[in-house]
Amino acid sequence: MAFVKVCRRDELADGEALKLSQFPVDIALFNVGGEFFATQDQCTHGQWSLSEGYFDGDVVECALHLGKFCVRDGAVRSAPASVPLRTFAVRVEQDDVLVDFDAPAAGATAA
Amino acid sequence: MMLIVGFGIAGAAAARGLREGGFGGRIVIIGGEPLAAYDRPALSESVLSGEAAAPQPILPEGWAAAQGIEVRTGVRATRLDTARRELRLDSGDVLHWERLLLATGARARRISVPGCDLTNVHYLRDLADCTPLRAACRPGASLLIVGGGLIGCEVASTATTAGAKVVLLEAAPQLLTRALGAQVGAWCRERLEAKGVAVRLGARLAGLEGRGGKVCAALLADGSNVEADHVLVCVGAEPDVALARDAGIACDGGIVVDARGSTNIEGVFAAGDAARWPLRDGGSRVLETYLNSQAQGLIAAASMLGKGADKAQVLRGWTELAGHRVQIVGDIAGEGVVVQRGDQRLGTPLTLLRVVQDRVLAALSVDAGAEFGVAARLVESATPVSVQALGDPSVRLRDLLRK
Repeated sequence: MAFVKVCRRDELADGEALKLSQFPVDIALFNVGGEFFATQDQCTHGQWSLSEGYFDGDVVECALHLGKFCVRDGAVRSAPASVPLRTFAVRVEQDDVLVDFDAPAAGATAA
Repeated sequence: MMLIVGFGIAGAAAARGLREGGFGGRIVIIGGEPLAAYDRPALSESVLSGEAAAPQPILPEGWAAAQGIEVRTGVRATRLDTARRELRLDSGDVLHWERLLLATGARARRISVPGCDLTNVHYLRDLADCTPLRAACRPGASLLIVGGGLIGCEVASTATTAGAKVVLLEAAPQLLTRALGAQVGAWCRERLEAKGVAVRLGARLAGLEGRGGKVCAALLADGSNVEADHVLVCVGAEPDVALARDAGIACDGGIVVDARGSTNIEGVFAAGDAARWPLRDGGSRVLETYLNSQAQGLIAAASMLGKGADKAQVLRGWTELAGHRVQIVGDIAGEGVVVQRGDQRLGTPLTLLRVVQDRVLAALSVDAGAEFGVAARLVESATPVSVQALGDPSVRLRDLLRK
């Protein structure tokens, strides 16, 4: 359990996503109205980066086959995706956004 | 009983749509290939290269069984009687249906030049086509590809990466003109040539020569020869309409359907590569993309349940060319102004937007996935935009969408 700094708050605007490559698997970090959420970057269905998907509200749509996921808990919101996303705990400390690779987000559906 | 003929992406999506739409009755899917619906686009890429042993299934493992859906693979429909609502199979069985979806897909268009029946002359449509073509994707192999469309360019890229010597023939003055437009075709040609592919434009195949029954060379219309121990012919697809046409269902370059997927026969629907579907921006045609087939399967399923709504289509697809991800929405070739965002010399990331009367009718991105997602929304929502704003690199597309 270790939170590490991944970016500054002002480096990721509301409604935007950022790919984090410094972890054992790539992570997508999302800003939902000032709240930050982290999930695995690769879609569980196809070979596509979710940080390159279409992100609206708290739902990201994979650009490859148009499967959708909730970025808060990783839950599938639309087929053809069927497996939830792995999520990661995020904490904001002052101006910094931190991610814990070893801990899931609170309320996540996937381990 | 709901009967789905064809177990590709359209048929699989329809099965899902029927269950998710609340239908609890009997569903039967007939598939001609010996396996469940799979990710067909991977055949020209990861499956051909051997990176993936087999394509990913479309439906989650065990889903159909858990949903009580009867799947019959390796079976072909031989005769359809729409008056009696009967479908005869090559197994001899006769199925009675209340609603029928024809998702019979398309076949590779065949050529008939001297030598076209030689061994190692390949087509690529099904998994069974992929296995023999793998022999052409290894160091020391020489592969001639006839047709510089999406499949031709994808395989040229895959085979060259695998170490094969590749010559790519295209009859038109540029690659990919029908699928992605001449500008991106020219960009792709540069990328493929940089990888070592010999691209020959304006080139027509006149015949194939063999040695011991195997192809060894191609003769071109200009009199020149190209040596090759494998030939892949990818000159387009033809919708598989035989079953429908013989049953008296209207066909014209595909099974003709309305924007709900209904054919001219009540209770009979069509979706996917076999269906000629109305387009939002006018006209109708077979779209031949994974995403449109998926969407059409879902729309047709809703129509089969009596909950259909008109959904004229906007083309939506993707491809991987020479290591670059290309995504497209709408027809990028056509009237209007094309605005380019990104590197002005067709470097990547890049997004092209075709604008007519302050509406984005089509967009194409290379390696710009996040921007493409927004561009696709601009196209689908027909949001009014100005050409000036679209071309201004300081303006985010997302901000135009929100206005």
